[in-house]
Amino acid sequence: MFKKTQKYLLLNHPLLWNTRAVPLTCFLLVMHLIFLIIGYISGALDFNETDRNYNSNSEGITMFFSVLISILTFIIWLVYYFKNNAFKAFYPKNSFSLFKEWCLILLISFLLSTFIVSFQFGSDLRVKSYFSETEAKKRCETLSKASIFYGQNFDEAESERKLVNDSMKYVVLDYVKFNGKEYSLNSLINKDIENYSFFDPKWDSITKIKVKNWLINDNKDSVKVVMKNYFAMVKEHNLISNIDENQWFSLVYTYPDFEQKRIIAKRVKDYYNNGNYDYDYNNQNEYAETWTVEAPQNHKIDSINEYLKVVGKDKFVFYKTYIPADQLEYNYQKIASAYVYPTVTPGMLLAFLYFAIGLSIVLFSFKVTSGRNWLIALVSIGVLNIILGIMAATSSSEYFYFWSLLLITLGLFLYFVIVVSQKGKKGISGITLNALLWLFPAFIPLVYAVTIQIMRYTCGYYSPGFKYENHPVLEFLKDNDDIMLMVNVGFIFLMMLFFSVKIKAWRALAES
Amino acid sequence: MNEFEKQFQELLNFLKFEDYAILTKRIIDLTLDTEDINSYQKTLQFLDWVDANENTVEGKKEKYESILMDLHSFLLRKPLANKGTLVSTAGLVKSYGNARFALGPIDMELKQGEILGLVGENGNGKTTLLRALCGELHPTHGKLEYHFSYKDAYDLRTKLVYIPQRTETWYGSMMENLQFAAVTYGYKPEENELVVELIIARLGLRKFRNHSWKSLSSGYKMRFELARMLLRKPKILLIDEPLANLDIIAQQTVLEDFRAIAKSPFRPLGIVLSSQQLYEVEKTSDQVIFLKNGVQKNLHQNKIAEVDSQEKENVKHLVIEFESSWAQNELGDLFNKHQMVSIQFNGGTFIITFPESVSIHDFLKIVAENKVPLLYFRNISNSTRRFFVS
Repeated sequence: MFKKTQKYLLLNHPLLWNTRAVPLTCFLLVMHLIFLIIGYISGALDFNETDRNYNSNSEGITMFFSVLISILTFIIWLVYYFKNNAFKAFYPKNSFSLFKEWCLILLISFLLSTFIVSFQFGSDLRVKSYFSETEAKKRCETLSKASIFYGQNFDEAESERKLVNDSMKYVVLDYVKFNGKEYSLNSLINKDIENYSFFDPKWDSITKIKVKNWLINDNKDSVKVVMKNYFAMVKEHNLISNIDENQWFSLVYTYPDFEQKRIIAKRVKDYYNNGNYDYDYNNQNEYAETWTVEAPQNHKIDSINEYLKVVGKDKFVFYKTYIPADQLEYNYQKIASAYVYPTVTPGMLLAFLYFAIGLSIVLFSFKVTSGRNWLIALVSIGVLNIILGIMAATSSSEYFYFWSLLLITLGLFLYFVIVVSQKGKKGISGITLNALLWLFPAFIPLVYAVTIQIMRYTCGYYSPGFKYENHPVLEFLKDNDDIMLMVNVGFIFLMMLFFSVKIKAWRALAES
Repeated sequence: MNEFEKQFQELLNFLKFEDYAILTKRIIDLTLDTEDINSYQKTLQFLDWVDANENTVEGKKEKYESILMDLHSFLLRKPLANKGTLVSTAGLVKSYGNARFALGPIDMELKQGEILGLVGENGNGKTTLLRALCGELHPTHGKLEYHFSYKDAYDLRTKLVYIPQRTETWYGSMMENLQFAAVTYGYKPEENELVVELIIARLGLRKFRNHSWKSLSSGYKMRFELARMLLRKPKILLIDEPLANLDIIAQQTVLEDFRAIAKSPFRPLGIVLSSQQLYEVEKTSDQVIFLKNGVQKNLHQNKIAEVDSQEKENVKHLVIEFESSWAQNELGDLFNKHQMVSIQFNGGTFIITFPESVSIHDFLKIVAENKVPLLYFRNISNSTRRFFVS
């Protein structure tokens, strides 16, 4: 099958055969699918997991293997790719053949370097597969509202300037005011709510006020609905709680002042160390499983809500009433993030695309010039960078480096155009062509950086009282570097088209 | 009788004397000339039959005759190629800076179907001239013109095949390399394999097609290079020292192949080859350029390049190379009596020069009458061998 395909390609599409693009692309797509599946599998949520006991190893290992597979595949492919260099042997090529070849290298480079993207995408896909966005949002809303009724996330006490002993001082208040009424600091009215990525601070604030209004208006039913929905989730995910929704309601709903005597803990227990931070290495595994945040130093046991228990060498604070809030918060935060901040973003893809463009151009320049030219260019660029670095360090302008690179790129371009149009001999143009191909993708970003710098000088950026609002062009440039980078991708394609046509003419020039 | 008919008569003679080895090669050449898939298929079937019946005598001649006649009737309808000029140079000079070696000025012209031999000692500019002709070196002065159509400089270079003395390694299967060359030079998928098979058979490479490059001897590497060259259908083949590293039989075969390839009545090409094998090159070439310190001296041309007045003088002399057990003074004494101009001992052989009035028969007569022991002799009056005398 493989041999048949290659033979068909050899006789019908020699460029595809020569670049080994078809079998390699198939292999890479299969690898992407595998990484996607691995991502999908490892993206499974364990509703017993919290941010204190999660297992994060899989991503690191996957990253390592993705890089390893990429490097190995790349090397093996190079061995085959550098065979039968039709361009060097002066086999006939149409004007766009080199450009097509570069596009193929780019595709291969992109697929080679993005296994981890498929993994992340698979992982996000799995997380999102649990609930639709509307459902997830609805659930997060319930969790957000319910967070007022558990835990100890009381707001900080406010302070007020008061006249004390004839002098104005800040006095910390021992109450909180809501709707003109004072409540104690450990009242539900002084509670904060959990934020989920679906919602912005404004939504949080409005929701907080909404729930508190239920409370002061004694709107029991609304609270009960939230708690009922909450416990529906607890049951759905088989989580453990030692109270039910009715007990929860009766424990926290203390109308009208809502002062909290009983605390509804977010977990079963905490590790109690009483200020002793000696880590017991012999008991490492057990810690790993049961480790929780240390109780504050000299923590006094609140006997209404907690009790101390010694298990083996360790002491734990157990809570008398708890709900599995840690687990729900942790997992639903993950679901919300998967929708709102997916790991695979256009910015991430753009970064990988730039990496692939870089790799493909380095490879392309090697293929169309020669190993010798390529190597000399590499050393020259390295030396040039060191010299420019030193000069930049001693120069007063922070943009000296960008300016220099910009001028060098323009110089190299001019030299290349002159060499090709004179139809004489190549001379050192093989080396400069390599350098030009590597530098020109940075041309627009360099122009961008230098333009912003010039505009800052002309707009008075360094003078006091400068405001971006007064300089819309500068503001637009500053805020849209991502657009610039995307435009630059188009520019790179156009330039590669130009270069690939000209390189053919350059190749025909006499060596010396 | 046109060129094709003349060559075909020659083939009928091979058939008459049952010289099947050369006939097989020429049949393949004619088949390639047809540029017709049916003919390719027929000849390949014929070649399979030949392989399977190597020792069969019965019916062999008829088989050969039948395929020859088929090809003849097909090719009779095909127009012959015009043998125009391919490349010419006028005062071409290539120098490598002030103090170093310079080639030229070179004046030459190469027509389709011609072979131009470049001879000269090492370091006298043969490779430089070949590289200049293939576009790899830019002439310092002078004119270099190609007299066939091409789109651009790259297209021109696809039509000039230069095979350097040290060829580059071929990676992967030999067949794939050849098929790749064929497809990029426009052979259609359905004819690709057939043409490659024919060319492999033409150069006697059938047994070696599955070999790796490294396991091939330099002679076979050269043949694979030639096979690839044939697929590239060049206008001009420029080949540096093709006879180096070849045994004497392989040298003869390769030169005969060059002649057959260059002289095709339908697809002729120009060949420029450099070599140290003077006699073989002279036998095969239509023109010979001798290079000494980069300067050109021609053979087979009415006008000798005016490079050396002494050389101009010598040109009219009878120059003989011979080997004898007699000492130089004995020989000198004898030939002095017979208008000898000079005698030189040159690496085991003697080079003797007489005025134009003395003929080769006179020389043989003196030798016979005086019973001079003669192991070998050769009239080199018209050979570049004269230029190699120190």
